[in-house]
This record gives sequence, C-alpha cells and structure tokens, in this order.
Amino acid sequence: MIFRRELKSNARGLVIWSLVLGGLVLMMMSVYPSFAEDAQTAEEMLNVFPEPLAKVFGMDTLNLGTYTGFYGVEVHLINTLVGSVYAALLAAGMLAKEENDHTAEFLLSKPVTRIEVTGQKLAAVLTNLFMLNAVIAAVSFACTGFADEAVELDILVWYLLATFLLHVTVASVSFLLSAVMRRTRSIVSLALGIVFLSYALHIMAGLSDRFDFLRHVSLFSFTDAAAIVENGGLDAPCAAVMVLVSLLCALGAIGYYHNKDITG
Amino acid sequence: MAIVELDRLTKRYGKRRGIEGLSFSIEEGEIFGFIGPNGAGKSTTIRILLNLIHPTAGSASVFGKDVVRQSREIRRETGYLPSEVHYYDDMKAVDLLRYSAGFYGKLDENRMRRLAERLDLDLSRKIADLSFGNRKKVGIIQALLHRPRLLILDEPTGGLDPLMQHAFFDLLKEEQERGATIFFSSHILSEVQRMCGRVAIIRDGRLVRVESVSRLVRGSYKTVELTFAAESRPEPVRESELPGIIRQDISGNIMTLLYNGNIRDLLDYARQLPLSDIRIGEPSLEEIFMHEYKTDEGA
Repeated sequence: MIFRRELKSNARGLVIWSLVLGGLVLMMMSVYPSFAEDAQTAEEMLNVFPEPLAKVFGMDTLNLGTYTGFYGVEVHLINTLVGSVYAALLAAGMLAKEENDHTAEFLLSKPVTRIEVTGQKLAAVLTNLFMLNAVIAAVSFACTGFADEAVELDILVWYLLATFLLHVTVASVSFLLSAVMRRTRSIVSLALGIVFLSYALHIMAGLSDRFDFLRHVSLFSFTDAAAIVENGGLDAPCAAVMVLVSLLCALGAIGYYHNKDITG
Repeated sequence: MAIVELDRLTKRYGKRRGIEGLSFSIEEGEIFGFIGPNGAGKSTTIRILLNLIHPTAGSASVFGKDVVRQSREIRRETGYLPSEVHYYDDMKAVDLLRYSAGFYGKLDENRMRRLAERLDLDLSRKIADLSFGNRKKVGIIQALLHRPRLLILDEPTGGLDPLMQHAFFDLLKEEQERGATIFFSSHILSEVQRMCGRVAIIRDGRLVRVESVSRLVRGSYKTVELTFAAESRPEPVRESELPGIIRQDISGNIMTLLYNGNIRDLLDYARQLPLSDIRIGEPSLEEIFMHEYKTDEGA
C-alpha cells in the first residue's frame, strides 16, 4: 500500500529528474565524437586549464580522447552530484512529510506497524534511485555508439555502480534525518548541506596536497572517476564504508521511528 | 468484557504536562464520553491507545490486547477520527478512502457511497479543495468504513454544521446498534450529554471522576449575562433573592452569573431588573470545573 502510494506520488519527480540527467548525459556525450576526432584540440583545451583545476576534474589521469576518460571528466560528476541532490530531496521528505503535513496521524492509525511504514518507504526510495540510475546507465551505454574505439565497458560499469552506491548512501543519511527530525524544510537543508559540503571537501582535496586527507572523508572522492580509472574499479574500503553507512542509517531510521512519539 | 482499560496510565513530556495515573474502563457497546477542557490530556490519552505515542508508565489495553505490543491488531478493528483532519492534498476524497480501506482488506464500495450520501459529501472533489467541515466528513467515513469494533472520536463535531452533526449522531447510534463501542472525546458538555451513557472527566492530566451522564445533567448549569440599561448599576444578588447562584461577576453595567437554580425563578427575578439585554448560555466546562470540582481535588 504505502510502497505503491510513494511510487505513484514520486513518479512525476522521477520522470523529470530522469529526463534531466539522461538528457545531460546524452548532450555531453554527443560532443565526444568531435572531441575524439581531433585529439590535438583536446590536448590544447586541457592546457587552458590551470594545473590544479585540471587535477580537480581528474584531467591529469583521465584521457579526454577516450570514451571513458571523456565520460569521467564531463559526465560522471554531473551524475554523482545532481543525482545526489535528487537522492537527498527524495529521502529527506519521505518520513518527515507525514508529520510535517500531519498525515502521520492518519497513516499510523491504520493497521500497519512502524517497521512496515519505514520499510516500505525505504523500498520506495531505493526503487526510485534504481530507476533513475537505470536511465543513466541506459543512456550511457547507448552513447557508446558515438565512440569509434572499443569502449572500456568495465570502467563504465564501475562509474555507474559508484554513482548508484553514492546515491544510496546520500539517501540513507537523508532518510535517517527524515526519521529523526520533524520539519521537512530543515531536513532538506541539512541533507543538501551534507551533499554540497562533501563535494566542497572533494574539491579542496584536489586543489592542494595539504588537504589531500580530505579524500578520506568526502563521498565524492570515494566515487571520483580518476580514482576509479587508477584503481581499475571502486576502491574496496571506500565501497565498504558507503555500504556500512547506508546500512547503519537505514537501520537507525527504522529503529528510531519504531519508538518515535507522533505528537500532533 | 472491558473494551478499553487504562491502568495508571501516565505520559510525561519533559516539563510539559501529559497525563498522570489515569485508570478507567469502557464496556462493550457503550458510548463513553471523555470530557475536559482543551489541553487536559484527552488527545494524549487517545494517542496512547493508538500507539502514536508511548506511555511513560502504567498500561492500557484495547480488546484485552496491550496497546504497545499488540497495537497493529488493535488498530485493525479500530476507527479513529482525529480532532484535526489532515490528508494528502494530491488525492481526491475517493482516493483517500480507497487508500485507507486498502489497509483493512477489501473496500466496501457500497458502504462508502452510502456514508458519503448520508453526510452529503462529493467524493470526486480534491481534498485540497475541501472545506474544514467537508474534510471532517472524509475523516468520519474513513473511520467508519471498515465497520470497526471500537470508534475513537477526538472532538468529532468541530467544523460540522448542526444539520451534519445530526446526521453524524444518527450514524453513531447505528454503529452502536451494530455493536460498536464508541469513545467520544469532547469539550462540549451538551453533545456529550446527548450521546453518551457515561463520561470520564479529565482535568490537568488527571481523572476527576467517571460518572453517568444522568447524574451530570442533574447539575444543569447556565451562564447568564445580564446587561443593565445604561443609567443603572447592577447590585450583587443575595442568596435570599435568587437561590442557585454559584458565582457572580459585575463589570460595568454587565453582570455575569453561573447559575444552577430553577430557570423560572431566574426569569421572575430578571423581570424586575432594568435590563437592556439578557443572554442565557451554556457554561464552558472550565467554568464548571472551577467550582464543581474544586472540592474534589482537596479531598
């Protein structure tokens, strides 16, 4: 019941975000053929960027002349950042909106347990994220048609997995906030704050070696395209941290909500 | 068998007052009133019965089941109308009722239509466009639709016009005849008097007493507001002139009485006064409590 209701009421948002993200991927990657054709222009363009900045965007590691390199520089960041904003917005409201709009009193007086409520809502969040990522993946694979060379599909798959895992992590943290706090607006602000702070830390880590340690605390460094290419995949400890954070937040949300007092 | 049973039920919210040591029980088939001024703890008690909030101490059971541990089974056979009804704005009334019915199993489409007809509610309207009273009707149908064994109504008549209140009370009588037990919370004495067999009176989070409505009605209080003509000054009324005055206040040329004497004596007395206006109304529960139950607390 609740799962279906949440899918339905979030359907419009999902379609819009999918169109936007899918469209962005398509738009960016449609530039790739002309880029790959003229590798020299690409090289020159790289030189225009000051070196630290190029490093931030992974241009020192990634080869703009290949599909995955170009994707890593131009598209991966959009997928992770924009998708995280979607994940935060989606999950932040999921539980708190019932209290914020005073519908919790209706919902929780029905014969459902609190665990069913949180469980079904969490499932709705994950399903929405999965569908968004499926769209991103579909477009990304379709766009390999733009490439003349043999695309390193394993790298592309790692990008996509990292993106999905990041979205799930951001959503789980936001979902926990949604269970604990009551006012939707402050939860959204806090969740988006976490996303942008994490991104800012990633940028700072890239800008100066002095801040390199920040790599270990920013989710965006965990899923950085250059790191994925260097490692030939997602760094195992980073992946483990994200999975663990997601699990703890989800369980925390379910546990907290189970005993929460719903006052009018 | 007691349908609802409270045993020293207590809820404290930090510094804010909740309820303290409430014990009473409601028998099957009763319409049981729960009265007290706003903020006395009525909604807190109801929320505990539905497990929306957790008791600090004591316990409560519904149908003999514990309200915390077996809440879901209790809620399956309970219909709840909150004092303020808020629903999902994107839904139509009929969508909300279908959604609600889905939690209990199969929707009885006929019953839904019939209830909507009785309450004169257009089910195809969007909830966001409904007036407060119409949203309340959605709430009533939502509470009755699955033929619950226990109906919990928190201030149910607010927002309903007199005609609708009448239709609503008729519905409740039918539910009672069907065998349902009704727990009816209100701060309006007259509607409790009209509907309920017994009432629990609560004040400041504590149970004042449980008694039958017939006993409560015996002390039928009125507030009387006498407006004196501009040039005259009201004089305090002496007990010998008019027995049954509980309290009197004089402010300018307006005299306010809390009265539980004979109504004819009152009218005879008022006839002699140089009045420009008279209003006889029902006192708020607060006013009755202040005088009727002051002594109870000391005891």
